[in-house]
Amino acid sequence: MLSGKQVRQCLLAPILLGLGCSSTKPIEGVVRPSPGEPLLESLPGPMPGFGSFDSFSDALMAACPLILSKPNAIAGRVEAQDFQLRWRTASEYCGWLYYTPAHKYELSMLTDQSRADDLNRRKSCVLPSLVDDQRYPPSNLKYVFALHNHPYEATLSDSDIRAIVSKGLTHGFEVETKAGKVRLAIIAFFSRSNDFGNPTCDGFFQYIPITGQLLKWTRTRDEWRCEQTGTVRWLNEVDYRVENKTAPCRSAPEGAP
Amino acid sequence: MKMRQLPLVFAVVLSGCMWLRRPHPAPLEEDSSIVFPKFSERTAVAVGTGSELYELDGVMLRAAMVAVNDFLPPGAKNPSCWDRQEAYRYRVIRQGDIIFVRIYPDLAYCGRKFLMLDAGATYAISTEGRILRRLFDGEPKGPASPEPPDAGTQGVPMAPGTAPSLETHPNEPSNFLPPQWLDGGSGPPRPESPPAPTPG
Repeated sequence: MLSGKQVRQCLLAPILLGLGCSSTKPIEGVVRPSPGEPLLESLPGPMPGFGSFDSFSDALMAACPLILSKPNAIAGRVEAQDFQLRWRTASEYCGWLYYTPAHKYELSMLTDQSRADDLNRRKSCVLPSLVDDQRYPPSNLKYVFALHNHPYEATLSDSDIRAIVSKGLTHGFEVETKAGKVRLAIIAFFSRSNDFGNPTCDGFFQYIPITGQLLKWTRTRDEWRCEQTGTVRWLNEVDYRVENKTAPCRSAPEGAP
Repeated sequence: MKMRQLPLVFAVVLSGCMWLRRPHPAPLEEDSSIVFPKFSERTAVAVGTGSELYELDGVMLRAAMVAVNDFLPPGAKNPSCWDRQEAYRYRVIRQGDIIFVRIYPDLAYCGRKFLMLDAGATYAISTEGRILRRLFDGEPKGPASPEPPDAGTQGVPMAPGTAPSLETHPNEPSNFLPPQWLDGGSGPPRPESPPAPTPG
């Protein structure tokens, strides 16, 4: 005999699975390889309708709700009763915030490509290292932030930290912009919302390799707050140490990127 | 509801129950009380990079094989670079009767064409070769351990994404990356692994 909770889950599972299965349909602003095709090796850019920005902060604030609004981008709160089901159908989306020769920050198209997983337990995103923006030669684009979502409020993973360092090794850990140097970083947006149709952008985790900083940004109303949660120090190409030490961020000198 | 719609409703409910109860690969029941070690707390001894002689007992070898075969079952047809076991790196540590295995992408192996985000996993394997616990990157460590809900509210107001000020002068070289990595950022200092046979 099934309990009331099991009956609810039996009813919810096909709905969520249906949503998951429907993810093979095209999603606005998201590109992925056709079934059986190899992974995309570059992402087209820019994202239609996103606009171009003079500051990366403004671009980040625009990218956060856009990414979190994609289908199944959030799984709700961990303590919620249906979290495990939501987790199985959740997806990660990833893309690049890049700087163009026109001195603008732009967003690439997103992708949700990942390795197949029969269990639906892995939530990963395979981010191509390059953006293909037909307006500019590939070598003229500068990669600033690797963006993705975490389906709940999870910190950056070991793989995230290693991935952005790998990118820095090939393209540099800082880029020159009109306003000065900007540091390469990886960012994972999250929402604390249980409103799956209209999730709020509640914050993001950030790792900046060149400064070693692990940061947590949270948004309350229209104010963003920063907290440093630790530092990462690399010893060689495969070994690093994390020092967990939580403290409020110190404001950078005026004009610093 | 019309009577002829009832079979459809039953089919939908049944499919949900079957999905919930479908046989999943091992482990059937994970021990969520197992705490994984922090693999970044110590430097790993890299096996196979020199001509030193290493010896591995069968229990450790089997544990690593159980983990990797669960993470990436062998035998895929026309596997892409990332579907190959050799495209990952493996860290193994034994604590009592549990062998912990950390698996993460070897980004250099596939030519650094991709950033594999949240693409690793950590396993706890018994000395009998049974998976005791498996945690994919980003997966909640347990229902009772969500992130602190308001941990970020103590921060200071700033423009999002800005690099906060450091203890050191901004023009000083980074203390957080090996100095040879910062020589123009023109490329990796050395190939970490041989190129993959068919990157993809």
